[in-house]
Amino acid sequence: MDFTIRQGLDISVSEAPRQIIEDGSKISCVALSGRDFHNIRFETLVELGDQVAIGEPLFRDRNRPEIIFSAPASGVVSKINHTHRRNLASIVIICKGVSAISFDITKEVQTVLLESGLWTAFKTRPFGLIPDPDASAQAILVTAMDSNPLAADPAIILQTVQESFARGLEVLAELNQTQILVCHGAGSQFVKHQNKHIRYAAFSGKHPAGLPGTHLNRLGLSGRYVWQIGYEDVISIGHLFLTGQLSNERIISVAGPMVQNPRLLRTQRGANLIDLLDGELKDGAFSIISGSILSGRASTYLGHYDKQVTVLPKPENKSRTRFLSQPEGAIAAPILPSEVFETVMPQNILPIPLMRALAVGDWEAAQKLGCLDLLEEDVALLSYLCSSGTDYSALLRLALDNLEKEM
Amino acid sequence: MKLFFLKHYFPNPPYLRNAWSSQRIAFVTLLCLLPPLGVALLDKGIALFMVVILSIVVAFCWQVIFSFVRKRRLGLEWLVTAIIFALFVGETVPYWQIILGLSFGIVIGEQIFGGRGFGFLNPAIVALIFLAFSFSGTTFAEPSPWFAIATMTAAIFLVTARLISWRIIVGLLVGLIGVGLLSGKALQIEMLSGSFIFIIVFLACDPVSSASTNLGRWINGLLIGGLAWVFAQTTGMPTQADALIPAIFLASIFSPLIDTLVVLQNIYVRRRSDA
Repeated sequence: MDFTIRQGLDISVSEAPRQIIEDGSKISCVALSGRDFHNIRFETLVELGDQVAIGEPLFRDRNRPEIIFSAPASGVVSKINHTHRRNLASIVIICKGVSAISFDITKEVQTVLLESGLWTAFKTRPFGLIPDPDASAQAILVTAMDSNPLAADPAIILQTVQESFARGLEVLAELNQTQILVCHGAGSQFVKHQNKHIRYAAFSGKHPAGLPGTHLNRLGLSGRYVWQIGYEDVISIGHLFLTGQLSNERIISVAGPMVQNPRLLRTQRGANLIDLLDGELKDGAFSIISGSILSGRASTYLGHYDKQVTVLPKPENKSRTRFLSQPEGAIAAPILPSEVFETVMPQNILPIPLMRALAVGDWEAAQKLGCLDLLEEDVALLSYLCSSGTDYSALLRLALDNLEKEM
Repeated sequence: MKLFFLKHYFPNPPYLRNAWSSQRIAFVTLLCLLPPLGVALLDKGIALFMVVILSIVVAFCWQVIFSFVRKRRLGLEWLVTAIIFALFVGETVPYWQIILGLSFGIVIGEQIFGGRGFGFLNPAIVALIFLAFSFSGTTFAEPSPWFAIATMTAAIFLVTARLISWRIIVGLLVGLIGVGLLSGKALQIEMLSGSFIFIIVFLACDPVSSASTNLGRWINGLLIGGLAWVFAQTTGMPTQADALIPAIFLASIFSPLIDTLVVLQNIYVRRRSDA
């Protein structure tokens, strides 16, 4: 299957990363952040000062205790941060030694994934939540491409870990007995599996041609209950089922206007980005985005689902004349409905009515307009283009959380 | 071209924003307005100049009042409104009518909705329509062919920058030619007025007062083209300001309805394809 996406926009932010993999600097501490997961009340399973090994449970979902979030590195739990509503914000581990828990991989696939914490790699469509352990998806979408600005080319990374990726796909096929759809970039070289459950689809075009939201639409899966998983987590699953241990490795793209030598770096899950970027940056104030410039989040640790780090110059506080600038407490700027928004929306969704519905908090209208087919990253280009400066990703998350509660 | 590639980084998401802030859009529109304004001023001299200054003062006063009350930035949109209004109102209209008409247009056509971008009407159009309906005999100014030539660059720039929609322009032309053919009155080249391109670019294609979906933009353009013939009954010139401006006014009143229908159609289509 080949799909060409006509809509989209490639933003040239700065020099693209060289697609070669090098080792990143040593990481002194890692963190697992609760903010990467939505709608979960966490129950912490470790205490300050505890020694943990890779794969040891750190916290779990209070409502679905089978869902475990495991330690991305071995070391000592040094900080447990909470949000203002007493939910878990993050757990920081100071790295020490390399010890990993061994899992019994002869057990059922689902049990192993849940115990190892790799279950959290799945995201449901709609809503983008971690799926229930007893749910079964109509299809699993493996995203093996990335069209984000300054992203790594997954084909390069997959070449180094072909065996793990192949094993990972087999495991997924075993898990669900439904179809596994591997979405990859057109022209990227792939060793294709001869498994009746695994199908391949090639996509080409500008961003968002590489987003699962776009793939779902073209594959005719809008409105279905589908799980999505990134290639890097399929590699982790493959590694787990080959060796019995969790791998803590992540290969990410490090780029952005402030990076001296943008390229791919081999680092750890949840790595402290200050450590990683040591000696990589140009002079000057900077801010670190974990994820792409469009849909990432300012953070000092690598996010759970993130495959890239973007370093921007720190925006200076512009002091304009009061005459022209917006005073404090002013109402939001309007949406100027130009036709450019339609050019970045590959789904059959009307962007301006959706943006208006989100901006006024009309979740019911947003649902009718198709917001359940979307996740935050799918509307990131709308935020980029909108002259009002509205963050539609954040509004969409509010809409999805509200709609999910009603269901 | 550098304007297209300017980048702005922000401390909170979206971290990267397009260079086209509403302020910059207003500024660029203003620049696009300058050549036709210059041509018109050369043509009509001091009389038009006085009208332009008066319109700018009136628009500025209202903008200051509403900006102050609403705690909003001043922006530049009021300047665009004032210049467009002044270009069409002509230099023969009494000053008190200009003040009254423009005040009505700005307050009722724009500011009561919350300012530019929150309503569905173009204040300059509302002001002109107000004058045409209230004081019989008011006709809009008809500029020279040089005016049209001065607008061409701006038109091409605004379309390529996607600040205005080519769908409305093509729809409008199709509507104009199509309805003309249906009623047996072929559109001839002599019918093209000097203000034709200007009206299309700055009034018909105003993103705020036209439909905001692609299908809606086609319908909106067709509607303007068709309605222009209706308002051209007396003069037989559907491309003149006297016909086009009421047509655009009526079409912009219909644009929210058009959008609603397009949204319903989209919801229906998506429901069927999901099922």
